Amino acid sequence: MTTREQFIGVIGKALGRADTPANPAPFHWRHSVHTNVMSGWSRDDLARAFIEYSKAIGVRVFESTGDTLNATIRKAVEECVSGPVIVANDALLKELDTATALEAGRAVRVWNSGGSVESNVRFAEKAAVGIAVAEKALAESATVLLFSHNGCGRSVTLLPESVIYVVPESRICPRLTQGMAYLRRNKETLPSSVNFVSGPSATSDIELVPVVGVHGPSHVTHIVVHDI
Amino acid sequence: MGIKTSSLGLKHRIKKNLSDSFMRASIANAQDRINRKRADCYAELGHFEKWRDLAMDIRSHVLDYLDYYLEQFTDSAQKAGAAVHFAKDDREAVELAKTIFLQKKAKKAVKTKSMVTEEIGLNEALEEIGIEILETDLGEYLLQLDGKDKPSHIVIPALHKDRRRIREVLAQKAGYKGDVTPEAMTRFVRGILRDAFLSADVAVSGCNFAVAETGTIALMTNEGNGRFITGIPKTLITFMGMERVVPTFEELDILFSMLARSSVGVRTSVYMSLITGPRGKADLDGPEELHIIIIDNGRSNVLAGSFKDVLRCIRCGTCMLECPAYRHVGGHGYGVLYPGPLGAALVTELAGYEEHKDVTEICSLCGACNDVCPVKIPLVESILEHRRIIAEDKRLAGWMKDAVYSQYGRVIGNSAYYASASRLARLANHAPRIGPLKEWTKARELPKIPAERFRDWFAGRKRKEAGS
Repeated sequence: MTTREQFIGVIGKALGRADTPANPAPFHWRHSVHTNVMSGWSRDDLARAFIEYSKAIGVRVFESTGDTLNATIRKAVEECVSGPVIVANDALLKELDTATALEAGRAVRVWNSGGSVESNVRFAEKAAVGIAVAEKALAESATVLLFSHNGCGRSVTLLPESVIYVVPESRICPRLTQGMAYLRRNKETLPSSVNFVSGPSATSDIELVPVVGVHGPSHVTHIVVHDI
Repeated sequence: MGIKTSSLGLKHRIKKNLSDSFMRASIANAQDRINRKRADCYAELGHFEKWRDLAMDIRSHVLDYLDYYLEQFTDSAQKAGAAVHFAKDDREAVELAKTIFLQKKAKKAVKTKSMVTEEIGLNEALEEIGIEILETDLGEYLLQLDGKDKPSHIVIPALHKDRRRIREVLAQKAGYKGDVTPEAMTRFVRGILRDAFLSADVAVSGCNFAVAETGTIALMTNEGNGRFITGIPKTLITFMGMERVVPTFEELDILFSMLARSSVGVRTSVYMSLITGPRGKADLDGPEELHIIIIDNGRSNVLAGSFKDVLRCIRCGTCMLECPAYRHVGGHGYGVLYPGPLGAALVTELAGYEEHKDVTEICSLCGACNDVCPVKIPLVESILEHRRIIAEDKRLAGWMKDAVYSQYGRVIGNSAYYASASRLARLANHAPRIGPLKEWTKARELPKIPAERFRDWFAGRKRKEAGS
């Protein structure tokens, strides 16, 4: 089998050198078109753009404040199909004790709050609704940035038929440019799985007809929290 | 599957695909719709040329320092806990995969759509050792179910199939009893694939991009199978063409932004999954093992040669959606894994002129692809240069073309021959429509050559003027 040295050596040879350069010049950005998108927009402008495009891509939107967040989440859950709810073990949702607030009439479980690994995944698989908090959100494309880790497993936002993302308004930034810069700033502590998610799972593979809910959640809700 | 997807010769492939009226209507519809969406999407974004400059610069920069960035990527991925393997060709790549499957005693695998795994013939190799490998992209799943049919587009693989054919296949092969609507059939497949995700021993993915600074694999999907593949099975094997690297997340922004817009005309894909190593120590889900297999398979030859720019490709499929030749013959007309202008520019480099020289002929050199390529690959110039190499350097154009063009060159390069030939040219009006002329005149009129040459008419006119 080819070793790393042999493999890289062939590439170096193709590039006309014997040794890999120790420190090449960093990439030179000759334009700044990407940083100019939505540049100078206010927090309110970005929230409006995020909400508007969320609706355009088939996402249900609720607006809330911190005080009314649990009531808004409850309302959003009620609009989803009936069934169990899996809630991310997130600081904000813990502080609000969202899981307890949802318990009336539904089985609710907080991810990784006990039980075996399998039982957590099994619960998420049977859950009708998953609830998580966005790490960041992108106004241009109505995208939420999700970190998956021990407090919010990949299953929480993937296996249920419906998923609700809580989006603190202060976390909405213009576009992917700021989202990627955020990841780079936090590169030393990134979790193994990071996802940018924009709306429900979708396909156009049969005669280019748009269909939602191929593998992942069919219904997505964004709750924008204006004062957080 | 490998690079070659058809054993038919060029003429037979073209004839077969030209007579497929559903496929042709479907491709035309896809081109018209997606091209319009893409144009709207870029118009809304603004500064298309500057975005293209950035995307081109990033890809060129990475290729110029590919050895450095692959070293950096490997170190970062290993630091994050991934096992990184290197394969100089398709044979080594499938051997590495087989070894991992055997070590894991795996029997079932799920897979995302990935051109590089098609290129190395992964599915066939795994099936030979008794592994059941299931495609999970809806289009690819439908092709697999339909007797391993071949993709006709690199982003929308089942573009050539209509809903009735799909229903028939689902009914015969998977027991589907529902109606013919895409919604019902998609729902049915969701159930099958959900079970497969949850029971698979190993997941297999491709890699849109790889971030050197962090050792991150970046996958872009709309259906969500990329998230399932990287989220549920305990072992993940990612196959990566060696040129897929970007320096940092910041350059990834530009390429993702262009890929979503260019491939299907949207601001972003539904899912962008960024995987850095296997699951964390305290995580409850995600792969326990991540293997990354980096593949050369001819790419280093391309890097060393005059077609290096083609390696900038981000596999968006835009060039084929703009191509008038692709519009008529579809992906299958090319008989290779990478169709369209990309295929015409790349395939002979990866797999040789001898077997694939005819792919370069499916191009009118109109240049539409050059104008839309998000990384500014000089596709037309590359295809033209391939044709020159085939005719002049490799002498592979065939004796008839060789004879015709060498005679043509002799005539056009000598004034006496040219004068005689141009006087006799009008005899061509009476030439029988046989051989190449028969093919050529099937769809167009042969221009009638006037009895009098222009130069004779012009000289006569001058004489008349002088005499009057």
